[in-house]
Amino acid sequence: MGCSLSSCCGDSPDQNGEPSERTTLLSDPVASSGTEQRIPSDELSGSYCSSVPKKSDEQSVMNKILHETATNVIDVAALGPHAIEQNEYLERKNFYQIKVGPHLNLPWLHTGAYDKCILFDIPDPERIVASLPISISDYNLMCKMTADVSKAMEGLTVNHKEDLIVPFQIP
Amino acid sequence: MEANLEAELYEIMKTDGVTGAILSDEHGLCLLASPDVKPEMAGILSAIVQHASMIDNRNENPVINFEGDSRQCLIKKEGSVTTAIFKKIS
Repeated sequence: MGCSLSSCCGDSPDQNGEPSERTTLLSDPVASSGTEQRIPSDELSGSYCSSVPKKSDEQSVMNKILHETATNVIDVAALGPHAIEQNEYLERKNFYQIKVGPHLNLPWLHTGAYDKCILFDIPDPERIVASLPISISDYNLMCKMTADVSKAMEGLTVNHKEDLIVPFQIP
Repeated sequence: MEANLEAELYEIMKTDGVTGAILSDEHGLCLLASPDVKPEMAGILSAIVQHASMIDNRNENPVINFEGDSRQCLIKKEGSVTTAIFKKIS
């Protein structure tokens, strides 16, 4: 224990030169650096007071911030319809109508092409989608009929009444 | 020769609500058609069946139902024959 203390304390023994229970483990850096670097409290308070801006400076800084903000902000509300004069407004309106008008009169918009579409929206799709796609009776009818037709088709044979191959009368 | 097929078509036409029927072969050619059904429709019906059969591999011959407000068209292929029946919705 004594050895470890002495190694930690380094060259800071007590007055007798030997470590005791009151010997600090780490040496005081302020104390070791010397008393001439200590700043007196009154001097410290004086420097603090000089670093705080005065009221007039604060006001000027505030004004500067406000000015910068005002120059960077575009006030849309201030640029409202009042900024446009009536004749300019009408002029712009006519200009827009001339530019947009041809596109509004495209033939496919007004020829009723939508009415000619085979597929179109239905008002209540859930009712139709949720309904049974085909009734059981129709399904059974189709299965029976097609089976009978297929059977009849398999039994289809050519019943010839005349010779299928007619020899030419080669002289 | 085709008496059996004609008899089957006659049977189909006798079914309640059926207004027309048409039979087509695997090439979309008309085999038999009732008087008020155009034989040219056979190709379209075969093409519809061909496309519908590709939807579900497990069901090669599905029953296709086109339904309107008052009429419906049922199509099904069996073997090499495609049968289409037009019905009134009661």
